[in-house]
Amino acid sequence: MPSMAARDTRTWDTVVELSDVTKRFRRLKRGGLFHREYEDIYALSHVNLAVRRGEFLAYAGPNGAGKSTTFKLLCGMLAPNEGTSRLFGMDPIRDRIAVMRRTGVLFGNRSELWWDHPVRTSFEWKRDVWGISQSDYAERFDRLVSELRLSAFIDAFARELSLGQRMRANLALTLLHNPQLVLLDEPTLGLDVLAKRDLIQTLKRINRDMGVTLVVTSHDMDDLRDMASRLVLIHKGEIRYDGAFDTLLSHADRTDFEAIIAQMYREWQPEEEA
Amino acid sequence: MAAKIRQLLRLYALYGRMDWHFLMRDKRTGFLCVISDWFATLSSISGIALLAIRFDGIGGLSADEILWMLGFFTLADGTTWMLLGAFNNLHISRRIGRGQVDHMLIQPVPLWMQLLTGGFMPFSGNSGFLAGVILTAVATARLHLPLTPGWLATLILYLLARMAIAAGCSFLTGSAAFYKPVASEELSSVTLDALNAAGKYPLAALPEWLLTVFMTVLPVGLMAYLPSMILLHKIDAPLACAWPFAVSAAFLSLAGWMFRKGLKHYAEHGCPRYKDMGHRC
Repeated sequence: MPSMAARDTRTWDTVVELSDVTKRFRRLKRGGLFHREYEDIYALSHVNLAVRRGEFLAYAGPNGAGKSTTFKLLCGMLAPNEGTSRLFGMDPIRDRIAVMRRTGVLFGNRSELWWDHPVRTSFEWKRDVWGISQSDYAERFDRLVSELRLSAFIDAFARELSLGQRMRANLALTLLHNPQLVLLDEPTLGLDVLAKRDLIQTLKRINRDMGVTLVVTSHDMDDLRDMASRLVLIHKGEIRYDGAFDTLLSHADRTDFEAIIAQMYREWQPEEEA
Repeated sequence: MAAKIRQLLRLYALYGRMDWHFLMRDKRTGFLCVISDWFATLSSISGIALLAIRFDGIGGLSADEILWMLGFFTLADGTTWMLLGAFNNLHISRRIGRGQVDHMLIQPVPLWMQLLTGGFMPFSGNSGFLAGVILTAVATARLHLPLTPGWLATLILYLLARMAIAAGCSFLTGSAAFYKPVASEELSSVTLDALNAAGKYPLAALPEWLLTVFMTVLPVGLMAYLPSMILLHKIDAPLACAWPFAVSAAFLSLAGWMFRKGLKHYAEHGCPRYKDMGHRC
């Protein structure tokens, strides 16, 4: 296996910066009437991560590795116990509004669409809440509808959409305000092959043509490899690999990328395998 | 400041427009929804109104004065609901307990502004407001109350104080959901239901200690009784007249403090659950 040391990519144009970040949660271990025992769960442990402007980062790891916690820290939903998190050099909690103007966030299992309204209304809602000008809105709306093939259901109620359609609509909504950083948690969840291809192409295009920084999590390693240039693997709150996909492949004696990752996960959690 | 007011008005216009579209999209269902809301509103006060008519007044108030008090109650409750009611904005413990605060945190809008505007439903949620206006107007006419601008301004001020107390209580108890999301999910609803259930009655017959409780820590008496007594000129002691404003300021401050404290806890501990129920639907 290649070196697992985290890369130091701190530069003046660092968009995301986690410095020695630790996040722990207290979990009830044993509960009784008079006595309760708690244990500390380390969701993130002394994580250092920097993402440069224009990078396309794949952020992967087994279930419970700390991916969503990282995203929540970056969005200002959680505060670190130790260390600092910065987006565009700002504190995501203290400077939440300024950070969120530049950031698009999508959690795969959550929807930002208005359920009892046509999909189009959710876009108009975002236009007004984010204060997007009418001309910018019209241009971006048309482009996103075309790229993500939303026209067939743009006037349908959000509650009537299939999972894949909902995901595409959610992604388009995330991109509507032209964010400089996009955080996507499992964006390909539930998508068919064609929709997945469209989504990946869209993400690659906004990264390449518009210089948007993307951080994407997924359990589908082939999708991640198709999209991203850099891979960060996290396990039990610690970064285990940070580097290029090809580097990982060149150090392995197999060509099946998913098998390589599966083997790494197995090595990391031998007791659970047993 | 001007930019903030513009943003506030833009958001009110947005949510008002969305509410209108929601109602107009399926006119038959929308109409039924509004009519059933009217029935629910009127039936919730009919018991007390019928008792007052049958016994020619209750609790030291005449039947018309009871009708006026019920009008005030319905108007205040209806306005609160119309301004803040949609999408569990008022029943805030549901939002918090279901982990839906995350959706608010990713919007580039101050939380107070989201809470103030996000529940606005001027068309689908106006039945209580309209019923309250009609009841109050009828009772005012029957009581021959002088409709001076000063009296109307006082009425509006007491309505605002009453709405602030109800919303403050909901946020005060609802903030517990930051700590115990499952157990406290319905606390705001329970609080508002309790205030509304007991707040429609005249309280003159109660023992003094209970009256004190109902005018302070459990402000049931401020939901309609005390403001009505003041506006019907049955009480004019300065302390009593100022009391609803003092209590509303206290509850709003306490609720704001508890909510901010809860948010801090949320940032440290997160919410261990997520349910999309009631989120934008």
